[in-house]
Amino acid sequence: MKIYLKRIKFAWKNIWRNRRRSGATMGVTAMGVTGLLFFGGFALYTYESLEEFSARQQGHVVLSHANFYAQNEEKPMQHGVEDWEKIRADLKSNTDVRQVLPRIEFTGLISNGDKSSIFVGSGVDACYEFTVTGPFLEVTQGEVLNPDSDMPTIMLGKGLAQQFGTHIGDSLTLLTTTVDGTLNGVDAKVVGIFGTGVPEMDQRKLYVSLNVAQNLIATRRVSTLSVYLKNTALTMAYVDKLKQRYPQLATRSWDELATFYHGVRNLYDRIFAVMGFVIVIVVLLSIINTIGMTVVERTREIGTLAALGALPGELLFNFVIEAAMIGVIGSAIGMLVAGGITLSLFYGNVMMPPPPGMTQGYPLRIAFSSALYAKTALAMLAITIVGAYFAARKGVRKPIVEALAHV
Amino acid sequence: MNNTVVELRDVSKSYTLGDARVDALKSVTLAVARGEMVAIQGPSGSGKSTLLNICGLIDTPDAGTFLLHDEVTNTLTPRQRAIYRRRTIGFIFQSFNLVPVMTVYENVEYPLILGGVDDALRTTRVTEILARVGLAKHAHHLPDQLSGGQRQRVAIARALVKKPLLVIADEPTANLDSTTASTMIEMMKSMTDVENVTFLVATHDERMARHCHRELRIIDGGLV
Repeated sequence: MKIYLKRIKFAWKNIWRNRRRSGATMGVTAMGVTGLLFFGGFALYTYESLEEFSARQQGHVVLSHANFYAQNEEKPMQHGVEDWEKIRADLKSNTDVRQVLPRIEFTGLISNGDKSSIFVGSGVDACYEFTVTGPFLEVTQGEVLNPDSDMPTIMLGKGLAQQFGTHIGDSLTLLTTTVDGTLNGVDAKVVGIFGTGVPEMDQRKLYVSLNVAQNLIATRRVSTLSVYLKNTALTMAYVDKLKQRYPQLATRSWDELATFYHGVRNLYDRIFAVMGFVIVIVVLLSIINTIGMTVVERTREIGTLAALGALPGELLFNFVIEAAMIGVIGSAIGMLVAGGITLSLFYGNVMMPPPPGMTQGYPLRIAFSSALYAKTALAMLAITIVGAYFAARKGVRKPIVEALAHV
Repeated sequence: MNNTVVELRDVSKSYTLGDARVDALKSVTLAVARGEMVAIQGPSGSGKSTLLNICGLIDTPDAGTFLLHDEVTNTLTPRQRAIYRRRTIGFIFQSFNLVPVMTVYENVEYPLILGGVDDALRTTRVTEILARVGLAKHAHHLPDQLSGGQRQRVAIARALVKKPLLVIADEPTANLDSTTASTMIEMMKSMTDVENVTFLVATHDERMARHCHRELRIIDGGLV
């Protein structure tokens, strides 16, 4: 047998000399790994969900007038995009692009004749908007806007619908200012009621078709063009491409516009860092304790091997291999447990309560990330090695005569 | 190069125990030739073990010169001393000091691993020495499955497997019954004769001492 295999075999036998102690340290390591993978996976799942939410809400890339984000509009649609149909056709010719959606953002008053309220409206391409937005818009009554409808139709947030006691098929009047500053209105039939999960949004939000919004504001412009890519990973490369192609427009990625996503990410990253630090310290202390006790117990053996000619570095290496084995076994157990929890949550459909400011809970899911698993296992391995080094470095340098006399 | 393996010139060593200073060795001068088996006798605390520790390069003298095979060892670094030990010196301890998780074969093989001996030669040497000490059938036993005599034979095999120049044996028969002790003594004597190995044996055992080529007595750190 090769010498390095003999060293591994020796270390393997040594870790089972005190099964209870080694087992406890493996258990601590396993719990640490499970904790890190559980919370890390939960954070990743949250990031991925928010990433998808942001990308679906706004598009991967948003094109707008150069001053759209920089200056307030003095008149409605002052900073709208001209010739957007041409730009849209050009963008759609790219094979990486799944869809390009024009949107008009506007505000005004909504009334049923007896009562009025402020609304925040979006004029959207009824053909594609709701297929792209996907599960993040929950239609609770009726249906989404019909592009072939002969008359103006409207979708209301459920809070807004509640204010008016509106039902599907009722008619409401939308009032807003045109680009010339005059007041304009349109009667629209309610075809759908939706929930966004955010009560404040549901109190104000409504959707109309793009042409209804354009007629209401008396413009051919749109506020933004949202580009949906086939792959989110292409976003940054595509942003660079668009900046060169349309230097007169503002080009923003979903990442730049997703303030909520970044807020959550910053918070979770900090929690994860604190939790990771605590786990690292616990595992480190556990391994230092285990190896430290082992070194004391085997002081006489250390003296014997040193007398036979083993160098302190070689003796230290033996303890490091033992600790690494404990780390590897503990990590493997932790990964199995975390994998099991991930799978059971996937099939178990455990729901989390609604977060503050939201009306809907969400499923508790743990994302599986091979990179996270690999990094966690490597971190544990590094911790056990560092711990073993500090625990054993003095013991292996003890004078041989003293070590041999140890009782 | 002459035939002297161990040479001490005015070697002294002292320890501090609490506030007291203990002179373990006082100007000891000694020469031991190759193939010689020397018994060092003396009461407990007389300095036998200190003498052996210095000769085995696991301790250093405070004063005087210690030469091993004509080389002055006083100036060797700890690493050089370790390398010297793994190549040249074998140890037999009173309590056997076998590694409990290693089999008999692995215990005997360990010094060869330290010496970087290749697989094939290691196998040959270990098999050969185990046969010579009569433990071939016990090669895969663990030390706690052996009797005291068998364990000491493993220790002897471990000390001799690398064909050392010098073997340091500290009370090798102290934990053995008289029959087993006699067998051990015979075995060490025969190894000395066959392998031309130098043995330095600290012992209280008169039979052991009688089998040695030379008997030295040490009292209060000085040879008498």
